[in-house]
Amino acid sequence: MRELLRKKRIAVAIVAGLVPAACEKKESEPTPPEVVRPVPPPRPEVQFKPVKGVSEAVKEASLVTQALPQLRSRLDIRTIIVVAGEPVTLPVENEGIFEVRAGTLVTIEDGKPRPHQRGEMWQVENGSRVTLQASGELAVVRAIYLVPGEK
Amino acid sequence: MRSIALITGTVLGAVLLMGGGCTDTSWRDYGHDTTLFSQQPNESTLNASSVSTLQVVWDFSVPGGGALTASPSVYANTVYVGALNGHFYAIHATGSNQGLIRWQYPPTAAPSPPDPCGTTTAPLLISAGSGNPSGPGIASSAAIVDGVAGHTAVIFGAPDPNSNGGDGRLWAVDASTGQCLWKSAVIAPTSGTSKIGYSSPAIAHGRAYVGVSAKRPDAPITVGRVFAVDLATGALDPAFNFSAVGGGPPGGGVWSSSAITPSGNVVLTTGNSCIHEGGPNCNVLPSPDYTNSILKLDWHNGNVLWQVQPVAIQHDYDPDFSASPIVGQVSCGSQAIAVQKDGYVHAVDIKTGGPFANPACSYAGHSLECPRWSFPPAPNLPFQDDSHGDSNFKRQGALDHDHLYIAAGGYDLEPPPGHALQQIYNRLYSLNVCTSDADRIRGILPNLADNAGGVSVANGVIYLGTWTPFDTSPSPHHFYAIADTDVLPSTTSVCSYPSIPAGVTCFNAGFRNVPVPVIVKDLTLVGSIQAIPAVSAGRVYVATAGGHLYALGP
Repeated sequence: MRELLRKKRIAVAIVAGLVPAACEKKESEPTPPEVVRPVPPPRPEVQFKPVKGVSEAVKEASLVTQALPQLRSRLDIRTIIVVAGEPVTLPVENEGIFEVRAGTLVTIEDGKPRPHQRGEMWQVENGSRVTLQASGELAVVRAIYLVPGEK
Repeated sequence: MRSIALITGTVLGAVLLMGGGCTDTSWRDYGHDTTLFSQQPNESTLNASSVSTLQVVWDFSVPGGGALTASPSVYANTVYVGALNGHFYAIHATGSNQGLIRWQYPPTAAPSPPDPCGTTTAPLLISAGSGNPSGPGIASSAAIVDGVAGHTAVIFGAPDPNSNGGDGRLWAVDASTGQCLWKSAVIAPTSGTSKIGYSSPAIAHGRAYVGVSAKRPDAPITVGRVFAVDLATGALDPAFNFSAVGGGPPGGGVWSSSAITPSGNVVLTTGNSCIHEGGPNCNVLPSPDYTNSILKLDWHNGNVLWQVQPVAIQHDYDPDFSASPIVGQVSCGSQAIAVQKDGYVHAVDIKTGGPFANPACSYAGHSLECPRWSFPPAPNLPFQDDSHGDSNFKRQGALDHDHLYIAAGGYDLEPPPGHALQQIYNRLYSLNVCTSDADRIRGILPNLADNAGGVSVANGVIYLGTWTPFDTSPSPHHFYAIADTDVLPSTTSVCSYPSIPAGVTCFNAGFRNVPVPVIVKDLTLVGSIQAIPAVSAGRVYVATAGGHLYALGP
């Protein structure tokens, strides 16, 4: 009888151990050492300004201006932001390349929209006007202009 | 001998009892539970073999039409989902009435005598419109909670048509009868710029944590906030206070649902600032600035315990988090994982306590934590370039042990010539969350027919539909059941840089071939599928923005 009781106790102990093991949720949130990374050098802040004569839906900032003496030209790299809303038309004063850097947009030529996705590049001509409309909430275009006539 | 039999019998009985006691096939919350793993751990019918015969068992079409962008919840043989037409539906899951309405809220006749919510028959709509499928009705997925004023209750966020044309509140409705138990204090007043959109209540500590986002997306941007609602009364907890910006310009809308860490704290993701989108005060930086971030908050008071902001605010071109975080224990610790609209996935150690910050990922005015890992790898954070934007809405993935299934950008976020952006983004990745960057990718399913919607997983089978942002038409979309390569070995492989140019071998380019998981079933359903499929007791419940709720079964 005593032996039976002892074995019953063992059985109860096993059950008591098993139930929490099966149903219990571990609560730990271990704190490993911080990730070791190099501290990136600070970059100069990009200053955006409204584009002259264009709706407030477009802003631009100059990123790089680099003289190209052998070409008697200057490279002018800008970032253009187009926010959601009506199409906006930009005057293009120099020949260059546009690239969608973020978001998506359409250009409108002769009333026909042409979608451009991130990474897409296209040429813009000196003296032309480019109509842009953000497809989402915001699109970023990088403009790379070749400005002639500068030493 | 008899005693051995007694012990064996007792233990076996206990094990069986435990099985019965722990087995819960319900899908009570957005993402199954407050981890948002979207994993059903107790599925016994659906597996890589049986899903090959998956078919529509029933199809509930929202009466009069109404998009379903919220995800279904399943409990006690009932499927619960709210619609953008302002009605919340409880649908019989199985049996002779399967696919039929069990109850709807608001009811077809106003209760008499009036209930505590002042319920009428007016649908739960906001009068101000919405601008995307986060409104004007119910986009907040429901949580099923026991012990709410003595009831098992369905909790969801929705506008109150009888309060200033749609003040946003949480609603608690009896799960079996549809009777309203309480409506919370006002969370998103119509006089303001916010609403409860996609945010679903995260249940912990006798509270429901819910966030607010812009009434109309980014027009104007609102101040993201999280509220804690007392489940017993619907009162707001005044001690809990989180605002994504501190004065100055608005920002940091909470478009997603919060998750709860193993020790009970709150993790959330936030939306963008207004720095480049314009508006009052948007020419100054908010301080503090919790926009575009993954954050861990103290559940008592909303204090920030860490913040990861992968893109510096000066370069915020709207890459915000539309996806919720996935939070919980994996074999290498506890992680919070979320994907941004730029296609990057970031995983952060949850850690005990806080506040934590790491100078390596901080910048002026911002004390930030570093992620444990990012995919694709991002050695220098925060990003300070112009390529992080509004490129592709991402839905959160699903996590099964250390295996994360998520639609992400991958290594080739800049599509090479000849490759469209959609081709880059319409891929499902299987990632190992506890290994090195070099071994991160377990498999890639390229060329999904469209964006991947919410993902769920059970028994090594991954479920997802394709979705088209903003599309609430009855257009056909795909629904996939995909086998993890552990349960159904792959016969094909793809380079881990899938758009590798012709003539270049994957290995020589520094990448490796990884398996392509097998699509076991591909069904065509009506409507875009942004919701998370709910897996419960041999069925998959799929809500579509075309206004259908499907029950799929073998």
